[in-house]
Amino acid sequence: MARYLAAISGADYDAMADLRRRHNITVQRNSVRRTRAGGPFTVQAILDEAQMRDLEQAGYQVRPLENLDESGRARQAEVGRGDRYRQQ
Amino acid sequence: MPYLNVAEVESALQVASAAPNSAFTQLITLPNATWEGRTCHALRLSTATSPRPGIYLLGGIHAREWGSPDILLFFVEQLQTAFRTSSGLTLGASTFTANQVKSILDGLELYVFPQANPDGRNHSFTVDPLWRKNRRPALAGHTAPGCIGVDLNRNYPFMWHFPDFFDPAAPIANSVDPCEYEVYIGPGELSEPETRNVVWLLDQHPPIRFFIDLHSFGQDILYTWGDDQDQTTKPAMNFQNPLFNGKRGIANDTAYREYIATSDRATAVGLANRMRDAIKAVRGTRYATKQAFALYPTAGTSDDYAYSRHLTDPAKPKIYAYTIEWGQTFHPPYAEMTDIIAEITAGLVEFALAALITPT
Repeated sequence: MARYLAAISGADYDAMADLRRRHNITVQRNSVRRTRAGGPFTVQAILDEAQMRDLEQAGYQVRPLENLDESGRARQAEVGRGDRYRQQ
Repeated sequence: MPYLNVAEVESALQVASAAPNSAFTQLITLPNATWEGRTCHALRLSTATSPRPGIYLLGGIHAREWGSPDILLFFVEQLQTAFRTSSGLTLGASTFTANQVKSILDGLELYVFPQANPDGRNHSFTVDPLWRKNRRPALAGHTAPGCIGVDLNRNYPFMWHFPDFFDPAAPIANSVDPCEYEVYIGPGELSEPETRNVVWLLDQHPPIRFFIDLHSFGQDILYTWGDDQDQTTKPAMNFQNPLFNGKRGIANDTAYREYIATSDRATAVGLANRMRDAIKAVRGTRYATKQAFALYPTAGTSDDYAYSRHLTDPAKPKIYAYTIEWGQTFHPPYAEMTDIIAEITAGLVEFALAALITPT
């Protein structure tokens, strides 16, 4: 199942804390933001499609941002081959 | 120009420590081989023949955060070339003079350990681009791929076994589940050869006074603490006091906040802001200076461990410690990574200049 970087929105501290406590989501912890004073929180996390569905059913808003498996595979083509330093 | 692979990083370190740089650059061999049998190396850069304040730059702890070794090797190569040729550095719209470069190498000791988790990085390059941990073999009977490995940045001796210290309701970004894909803390503190290497370098070089661990992503410069919100008024409310076990890690409560001396916090923020401003000067990218704790606490991280050492052992020196989360994704296209390399290098050079005038 593909993995996505997704933005998860929740209403309050407990909703965001429950991403760890109840749903065992590993968040990008320093991405947590409050969209406005007193407003909802957002945080980014790596989710598969099943996790996204589960969180939406639990009342969160989930917005996929990037298919990380696709972009990761593309990026693996940008890793050096051989050893450029041994050619010096 | 692609990302440096695992072998290239090690070769680059050999080249960096050879002539014509050998008069001021020494290769350090780390004592603990990785689970897959790799030997890691670091560099010491300095012209000083007596101890100077040291800056420790660490990279490659999390496997999928590919660009950190590239940043650190570029930083080394740029400083070495500028120093040898008595020229300055130009990084985008930012410049540093030849005298500034010389002052860094004359006045400081730079310890650069660019690739602390080569096994994980190789796995991320060749198999799973999202791999984060090292490659510790899975426990017997645990066959899922996620059961391999430990999150090295949860393996340091700073409240390592977090259930003993934190409020059970704290949304801590750590796990005791050996099959947790991302944040498994390991079977013991410093259980991993990679983290023992990081600590060995600290222990072997007492002049180190500053520590920066490079990660991605977020465009943040994080200062201590990561376990709870900072407070500067109650010294007894600290990570060593067992009276507060079971109370840590809840945001915006009154039960616990982590003590930091006012002067230390001010120094930490000031240095971070110098980095932030230098990064912005290169091409306008805005990084945020913030405390490592936001809503989700952590335990066992490198920066908290490094700063905590002088508190758990007063014989050890104080180390101002940071995490830089560069970029907006784990491994950007290399064209974008090239720009990130330049701006973080500028941030590190500026940090070094600031460190020269910071009392330690």
